[in-house]
Amino acid sequence: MSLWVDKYRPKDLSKLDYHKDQAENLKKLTQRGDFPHLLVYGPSGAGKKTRIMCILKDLYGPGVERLRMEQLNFTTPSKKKLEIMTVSSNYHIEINPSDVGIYDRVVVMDLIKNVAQTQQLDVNGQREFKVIVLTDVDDLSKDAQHALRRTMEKYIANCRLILSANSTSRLTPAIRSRCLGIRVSAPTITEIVTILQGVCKREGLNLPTELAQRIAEKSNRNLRRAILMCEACKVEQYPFSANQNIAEPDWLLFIRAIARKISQEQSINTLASVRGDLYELIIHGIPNTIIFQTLVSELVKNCDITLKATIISQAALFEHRLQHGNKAIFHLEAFVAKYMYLYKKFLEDTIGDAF
Amino acid sequence: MDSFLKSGKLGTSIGDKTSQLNNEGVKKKKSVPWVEKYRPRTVSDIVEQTEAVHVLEQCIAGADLPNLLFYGPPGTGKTSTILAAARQLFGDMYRDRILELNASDERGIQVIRDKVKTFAQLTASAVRHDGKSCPPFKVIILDEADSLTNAAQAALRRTMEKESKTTRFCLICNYVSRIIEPLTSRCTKFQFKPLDESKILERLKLICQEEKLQVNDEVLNVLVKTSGGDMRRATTCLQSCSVLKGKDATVSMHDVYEITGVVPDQWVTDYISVCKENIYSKLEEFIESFILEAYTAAQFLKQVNEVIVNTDEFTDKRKAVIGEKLGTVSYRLQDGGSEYIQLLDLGCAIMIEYSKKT
Amino acid sequence: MQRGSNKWISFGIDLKASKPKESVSNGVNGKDQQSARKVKNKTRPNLNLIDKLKPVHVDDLSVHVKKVKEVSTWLEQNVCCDQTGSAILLLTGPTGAGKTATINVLCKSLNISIREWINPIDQEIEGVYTQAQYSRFIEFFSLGKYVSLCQDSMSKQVLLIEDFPNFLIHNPEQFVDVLEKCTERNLSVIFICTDASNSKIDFLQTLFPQEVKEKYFITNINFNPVSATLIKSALKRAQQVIRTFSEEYKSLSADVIDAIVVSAMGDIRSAVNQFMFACLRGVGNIPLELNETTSKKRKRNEKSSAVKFMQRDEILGFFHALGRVLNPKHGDNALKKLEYDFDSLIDQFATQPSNFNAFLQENYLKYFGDLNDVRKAAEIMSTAQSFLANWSERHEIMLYALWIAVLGLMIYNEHKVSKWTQIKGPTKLKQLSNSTEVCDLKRTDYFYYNLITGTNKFHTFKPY
Repeated sequence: MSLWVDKYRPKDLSKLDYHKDQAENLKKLTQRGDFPHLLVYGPSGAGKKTRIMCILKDLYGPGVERLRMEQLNFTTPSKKKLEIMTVSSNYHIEINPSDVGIYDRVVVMDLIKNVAQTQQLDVNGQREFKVIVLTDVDDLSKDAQHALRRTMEKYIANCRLILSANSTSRLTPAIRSRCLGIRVSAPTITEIVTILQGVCKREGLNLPTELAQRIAEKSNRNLRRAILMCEACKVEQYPFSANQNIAEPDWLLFIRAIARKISQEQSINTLASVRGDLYELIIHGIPNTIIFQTLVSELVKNCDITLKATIISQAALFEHRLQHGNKAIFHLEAFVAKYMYLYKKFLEDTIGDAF
Repeated sequence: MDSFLKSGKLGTSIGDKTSQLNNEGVKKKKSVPWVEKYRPRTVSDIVEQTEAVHVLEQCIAGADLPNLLFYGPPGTGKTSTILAAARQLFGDMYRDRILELNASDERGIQVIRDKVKTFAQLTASAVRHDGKSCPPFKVIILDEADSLTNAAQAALRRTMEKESKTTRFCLICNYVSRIIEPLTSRCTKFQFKPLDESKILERLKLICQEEKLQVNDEVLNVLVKTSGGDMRRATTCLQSCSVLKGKDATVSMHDVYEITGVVPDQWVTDYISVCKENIYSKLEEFIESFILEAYTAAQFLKQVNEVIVNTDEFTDKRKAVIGEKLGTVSYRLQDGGSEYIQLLDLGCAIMIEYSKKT
Repeated sequence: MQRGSNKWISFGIDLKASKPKESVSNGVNGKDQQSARKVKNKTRPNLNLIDKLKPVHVDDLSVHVKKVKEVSTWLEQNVCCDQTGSAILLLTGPTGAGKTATINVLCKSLNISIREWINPIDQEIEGVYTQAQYSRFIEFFSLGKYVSLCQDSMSKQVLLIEDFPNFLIHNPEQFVDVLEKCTERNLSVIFICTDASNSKIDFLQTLFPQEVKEKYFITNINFNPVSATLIKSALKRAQQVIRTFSEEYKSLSADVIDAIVVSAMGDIRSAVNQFMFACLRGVGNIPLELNETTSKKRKRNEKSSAVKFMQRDEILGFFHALGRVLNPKHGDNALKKLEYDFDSLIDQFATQPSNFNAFLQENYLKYFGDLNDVRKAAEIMSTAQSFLANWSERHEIMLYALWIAVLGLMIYNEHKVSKWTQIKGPTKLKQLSNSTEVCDLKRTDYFYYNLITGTNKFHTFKPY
């Protein structure tokens, strides 16, 4: 069975629901001979992937939709064997280099070289280049980004890159300047509501506007999540009712529970048990940044403005450290400990003032 | 993947022909990056960098060329200068007499040893093929030299001295501080300053004329402004605009903003005024929606900085406090920090400064 | 040991049941003839005491009886009986746990001959030599079938490999060939693998991963460090041997023996070496050092001493040092100065700073008694970690990170919790790889996949 998210994904640039001007520009772009490297960026659930697939379809026709999943093997100079999942068609290949962690450089270089050295000689002769789609490039190591910029120039004759990233701030300026940036901002609440209703209509369901509105607001303008929420609502209860329960992501509730625990009791024991919870989140693949952000925004809720500012500046410090290396727990824990300390002091002070 | 890779070799004879035809067709269409196309051809074409131009002109007139070290921000014409000079010096033999190494080429100590040394050891005659005289040396251009490893730089030091009879080096870098002392002392240093806005504007107008592009002056001004004295950036942006809009279309203000990644001023002023209100939840909300718009945070910070520096609302001392935070936040962002938390941090700092005032 | 050995003997192996005390004297008596000869030869100064002290008898072994039994049972079942098929035994344990001695003694008593591989001292040119070594090593196994002429053809034979050839470090995969050969030729092989402190030469990990152990039915017997009582009784036995040579050796006081036992830290070989040195005539009383490390298990007030300069190299084992950092002892003076030799402490971990940091991080919470202390410690750990992450290629900076972490944890631990807690290894954070089926979904959306499909394909976080 396929999820609504996949089922109702627009397949053509002209069928996109929002950012229509941009779609038009993209269409023009695909028709020209000098297709540049692209950098598609925007928050998650804004439709980057959908746009990339549409662009590919425009470039090569329906052939790109015949996808294969394959496992590619690479060998690092230190003889370590790496495996990475790829999705590919005859015209393009998609990988997420951050799957291989610190070896992303090797994989990216190897892949581009491989692809670039085999020239596209398609019978239809649509394009003289193939496309490599790299997702989550903001997780690429500095090393890999450095390697990428030269490779991009060197093999431009035979292959083009389409990079997809959540934000451009982690990309080196060198990469940014070599690509044509396509900004994909998140759809507005109204756009999401319209899309949800459109989807439900095609499913033959009746979606009350209030519910659609609520889902859109809860989704944090993440279209993918909104559609998933909507489908989950349908599974839970149909016919819909305007005020039915919308399931929020489990990890979000989980992090909220952690935050509650922290504000209830500031002690070493709590810290130890929070550590266990954080481990659980990390092990099950919730990105560190998301853990940190959610935790921070939950924790500052019951502080006064001065304390908020202090906590945010501490958070900024530890969050930055967290981006390096693979030991996020050190910094998460340091932040939690710091918060506990500050918050406890704050509570003691306010109680002291009261008397 | 295999078939994906192989498909290139699958071409039948018929396929070959068509694709060849096709290739030719495409090749005609294929455009050279405008940066290359409009690179200055002679040293005298180069604007602004008077010192370096003067020395190079002397050299073309017959004087000896010292080892050079060009440094300065990107897009100020460092590479263009040396390439133009070399072209004038060596004429047709330009390709033989020059070794250009890019930073992103493999450039460990091994490459310095092998490539540079072998090239440096070739002899160079003082006569051109056509009988004219030319300088009896070769030029090795090390672009982006600041990313050479220290070991490689050290290896270079010796080579530079040993081969000084027949070889001149030209190091090009953004930050002279990343070049080791022994190397800088062996070179004549020239600082390249950011280009004047009027000069860039002039050049862009020329390009528009050549490419038959409809751009009005206002839009060009925005382009120039956002480039910050970087000629290459201005040119690339202009080209990107034209690529995105297709042939014969007019480039609008909106397109320039989109391409250059400039955040509309509205966001910046809103950010400041939200901070002024001193309500945390509003700031949080604002930042959330800002991130959903996917604007480039680094660019945003740049613009915020401009506003803060120029505002009358803060004393210099307060500005310094905010400025320090801005610097920290901007570094962390570039280094991978989360936009959400870092922007919040900055917002809080501005907020505190505002509340102190009252 | 004494009691156990009786039991063991009652299993009816062809050893005479003898009382432990006698057996000790037996051991000595057995050598009396030899020693008498040597005593006559007084001019000979280099009397090989070490040989004298070697265990000859099963009872002399300073190994826990149960271990000895395990090994001997294996030998009986796989070597003594008419074996069908190969048998591979892997002995593991720290240095000086008595692995080799056990094998030697048992084989002797069971009349099994040992053929041991000893690395040829090769000076071949680089590159060629690994191959040469490899073929020789393989040859060693091939010859295994032919019994040496001088030997009783009836006697059984085992191959002993303690000295692993170097080439295996680089190409551990070739080791499988070796094992294959063993199985093919129905050989009985004993591998002795010492616990390595350095992961690069950790043969146990590289050569004997679990799959290999299972595939070739390798029996693994792990030896523990020799307990203090066993070392002590071994030294007592040695005392008795020494007494017969009272001209050259003096007997030691109980204090000194105790000190040796403590500082040997379960290494019988080191204990014996120290003993020999201590009882040489002409050597003054060896300086003893107050040893604060062993007090953990002992009563607080009981001061134990250790031989100062004869301590085992790895006296500060990894865990030991961890304990020191986590459980710092402040001096009695008002300044509460930490009395440690930090340099040597840091040196202990210099080879693996990030590993050490991970260990500290995993365990420090349990040793802290105050939130503010913990806060400082957590911050310092975070700082140290960011050093490690950012400059991982610069060794000296990694050392700074260590210093920061170690000193930070020790200094900030002002309200120490003094209870014994087990040290845990760092939590493994192996992220579950993306499932192929829903490649397009982000991890943060898996929850909905579960909801929609009504399955439990992915982990669900359960807030409480």
